[in-house]
Amino acid sequence: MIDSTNTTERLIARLGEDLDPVRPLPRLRSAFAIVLTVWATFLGLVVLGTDATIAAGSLVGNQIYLASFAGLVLAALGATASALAAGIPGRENVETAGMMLAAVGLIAGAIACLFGMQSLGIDAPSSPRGLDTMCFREGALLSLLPAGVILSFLVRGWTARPIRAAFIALLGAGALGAVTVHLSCGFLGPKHVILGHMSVPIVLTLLGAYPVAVVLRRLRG
Amino acid sequence: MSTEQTDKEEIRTDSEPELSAWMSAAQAGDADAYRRLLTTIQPRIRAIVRSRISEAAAAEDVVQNALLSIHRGRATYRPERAFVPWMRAIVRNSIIDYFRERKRRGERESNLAVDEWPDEANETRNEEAVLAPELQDALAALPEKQREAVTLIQIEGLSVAEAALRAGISAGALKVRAHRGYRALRDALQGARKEGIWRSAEPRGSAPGSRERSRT
Repeated sequence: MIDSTNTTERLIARLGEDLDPVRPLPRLRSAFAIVLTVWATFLGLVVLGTDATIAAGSLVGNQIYLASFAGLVLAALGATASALAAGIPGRENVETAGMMLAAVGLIAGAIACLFGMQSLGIDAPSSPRGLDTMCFREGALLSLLPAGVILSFLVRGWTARPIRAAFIALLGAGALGAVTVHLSCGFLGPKHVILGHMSVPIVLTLLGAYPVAVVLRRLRG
Repeated sequence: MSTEQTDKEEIRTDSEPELSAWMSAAQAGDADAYRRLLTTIQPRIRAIVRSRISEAAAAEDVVQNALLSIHRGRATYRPERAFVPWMRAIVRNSIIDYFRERKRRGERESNLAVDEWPDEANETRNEEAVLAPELQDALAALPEKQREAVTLIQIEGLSVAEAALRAGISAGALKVRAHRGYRALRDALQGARKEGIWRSAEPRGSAPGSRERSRT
């Protein structure tokens, strides 16, 4: 019978032979800054290409729109930080805190919209036909770039829980995309905000978390 | 004094800067520093694992998986942060993975190394230490990836972690491939037995192309 400790010694020898130089991942805060910089640049380009005064007016003049925006921003920042921390062993505290922040943001945003729907009743503005779908589609497309940046960090990292990491990464990317749409849309209907904006991170997560998790699990080993 | 207490005390007396320096050197490609690091932390990892998993063979598998995870995740270590908490996080996750896997597959399937190797093969292995021609045929008929997994673990006698490293895949993926291979082999051998074409293994060395098993 082979002594299992000997096989561990052999494994160590093999790992030594298999050693290639690696570039350490950037610090968590640097990675976070990189994601936000890429996203902010992208956001700037998108907002410049639209009439930003409408969205700005909605933000300033409508508390529900502002509250849902704040909720989405919280969700985006929390989930992004959490996703980046998920790729680094020993940063579980940041991962958990970010996840909590994201959940609070999404729930608060959704509650604000539901409250708006209830308080406005039949006076709530109904969105023009196809606007919900258009905003959702734009949000999903605008999520792809942040998703790519966040996932590139995760792919280089080591995720202890691939499903959770994929879930939170897509939630963060989706929320960043939704914030971009929110800043370029400006339509005040709370139902539209839920269907066209806030649904982006949720649907993206539900559709993409599993395949992304499979990839992360394979990469993790 | 419990194993965990001993481990904590050992880690407290560790030269953290030394471990950190070795890991940084390893990230730059210094194999000697890397071997020193892994050899130094290996007993500590084992102590952590053994404080959670009493079964020796399973614990050693987890130790190896943790070492493999440290290897694969070495880019995530930052020199300005302490090494031991980083290492402990990886070991903790390896232990959690072990319990998850055990829960998912059940105790019987979690230890694939020998238990699922077909009975006929065990008889052959124990009595003659050669592979019967039927087993060789069944092995040859397996898909390449399954054959590789079975061969690495059962013929070459590598541990799951070593085999995973050799195959360039995760330990979990290797176990799945090996498990599928075992099942296919068992089905093939049972089919052959039903058809009455199973023969006893030839005496040692007489079977053409027979391969000795190094693992018992």
